[in-house]
Amino acid sequence: MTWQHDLAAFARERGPALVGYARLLTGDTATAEDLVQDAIVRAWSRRRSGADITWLEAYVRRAVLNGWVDRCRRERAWRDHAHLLVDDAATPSPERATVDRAQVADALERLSPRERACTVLRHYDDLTVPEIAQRLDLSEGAVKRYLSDAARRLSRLLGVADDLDTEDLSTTNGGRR
Amino acid sequence: MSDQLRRALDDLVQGVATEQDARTRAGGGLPVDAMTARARRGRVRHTALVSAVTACAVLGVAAGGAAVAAWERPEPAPAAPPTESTAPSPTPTPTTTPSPSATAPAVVLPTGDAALPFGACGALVDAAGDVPLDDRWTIATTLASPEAAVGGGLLVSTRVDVVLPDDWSPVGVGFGIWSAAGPELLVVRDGVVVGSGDLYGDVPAGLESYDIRASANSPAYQGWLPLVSCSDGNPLPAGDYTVVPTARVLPLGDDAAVADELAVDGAESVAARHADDWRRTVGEPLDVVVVEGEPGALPPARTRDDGVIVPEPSCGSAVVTSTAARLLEWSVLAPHVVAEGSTRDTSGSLAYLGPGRLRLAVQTVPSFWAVQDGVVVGASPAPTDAYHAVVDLDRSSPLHLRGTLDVRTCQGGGPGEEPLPPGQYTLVPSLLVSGGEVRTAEGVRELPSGFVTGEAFPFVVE
Repeated sequence: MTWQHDLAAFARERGPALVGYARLLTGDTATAEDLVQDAIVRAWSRRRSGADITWLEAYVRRAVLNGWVDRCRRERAWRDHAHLLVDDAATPSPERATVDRAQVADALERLSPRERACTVLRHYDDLTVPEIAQRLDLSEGAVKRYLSDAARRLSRLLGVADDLDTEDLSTTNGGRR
Repeated sequence: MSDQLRRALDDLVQGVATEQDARTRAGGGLPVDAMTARARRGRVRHTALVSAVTACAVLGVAAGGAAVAAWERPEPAPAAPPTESTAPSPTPTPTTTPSPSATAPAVVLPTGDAALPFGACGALVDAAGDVPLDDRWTIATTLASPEAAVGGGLLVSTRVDVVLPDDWSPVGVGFGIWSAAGPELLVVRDGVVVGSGDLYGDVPAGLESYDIRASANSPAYQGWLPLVSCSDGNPLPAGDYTVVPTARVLPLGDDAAVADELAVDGAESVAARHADDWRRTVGEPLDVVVVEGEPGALPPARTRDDGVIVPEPSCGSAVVTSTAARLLEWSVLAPHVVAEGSTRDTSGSLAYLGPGRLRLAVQTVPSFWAVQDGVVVGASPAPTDAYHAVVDLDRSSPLHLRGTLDVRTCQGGGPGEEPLPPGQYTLVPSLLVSGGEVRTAEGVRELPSGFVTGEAFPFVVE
């Protein structure tokens, strides 16, 4: 197998899931595709063929995150402030027991880039607060603040109770994906 | 909610992945051929570099380390393997013959010409000045980052300061004229000026005067300096450069009568009468490295300014807040809960999102209005003149401000001496702006004076 075949196979087999992951961060599929393309190109610009696909996926996912952070910085959306918006969403209703994909997608778009990145890394990647801090080059206190603010806003937007764990509690889905 | 959110995030990823799968089967999805072509170019470049560095290492040339460091910087750090600690690191294939990138534009850099005056394209950095050097002014310049990608530029903050003797004795520079565009920035490589420009770019800027009684410095300029060759306008290639800030200033003495002359005739006319009296000041050089990588780009400009600047509310009245998505945004980081009578640090950023440049007098410390039941019940004390500055911005980077979160209870129509009592409030961040001018190639448009407000947030005094 040549590296070209490796790249094509990886893009075919893991590309869709990686675009899905990037979509959590970006909020739109076109940007997510761009990030994944750049990350895959970057990975294959420097590697030998035959590397472990699990390692590669982790590398590409990290590159997607780095690419997103860089893009936000360039576009000045990544500012040194927390989102302090008072949302007009309805008060959480006890009847609301579930949240669906469309609601979550919409709610994620309402978060600031840092809040969104922290939320995805915490609740999708199951990273700990110190790991998130290292990944995003933030202090642990700042990560907790972003997670806390995001949880409060998500609870308002999704109309459910604000009980997201923002500390390093054990997670329920068996570790990193 | 955590489990629900995790399931929803999973569901969202799976949903997008399913759509992508369908697109791939239909011939869409990720463009594998284009990705392969880009990766091939990357492998060629990387192999060329590794070969060069290996040769340097064999020869004991220390510069090889610097070369690889410069190349490596824009690359993301490889991720640690998720479940194993012994996974192999990515390494290049060491067999491909190096060749230049097919897409790299040819750039012409000027060669040094000792006959050219200081600052000219191709002049030596230590060339004789076009006008006498003078150290009665200094230039303070900082870069947001000393690194830029090929085809990109630098985020620069710069300002000209009048040097005042400790006893404020007059030294002939109490009044003067300088460029309204701020300092010029020379980009130097190997001792030769290879690029230059100011932060106004294509926006017209003439001359303007200063009066030391009002301010001993120019506006604080922030903006984007494209890194292009002054010979052909193409992007400067990767390498080490130096940025040298410099400004021409026309000293007009210390007699206050010159202020009247400037007011009546204008800076351009006065400067024409003193054409031989110009001086030049040069700031400290700043090292810059240009690396291969994806250059940044300015976001599209917003043009709507109606509703962005609002009047100051009086105590007991309702607050009118800035309309969102206009050309100014004021964002604040502040605590949500404080103890009664305490003050806390706060910071914020004022972002100009419009076209061209914005010249503005702005309060330099964040302030707040406290609202309860829809009306103003408290506010920050009004800052003194010492906490205002004239700034000159473009949309490349926000202006960062710091201050104290100090909100007082309304008393006699304005904030009094007493702190807010315990209770729940909504705080509205606010910032006083005045004299705003949007400057573009099409002309100058004035903005009203008033306040820019940020997003309100709940606030508790315990």
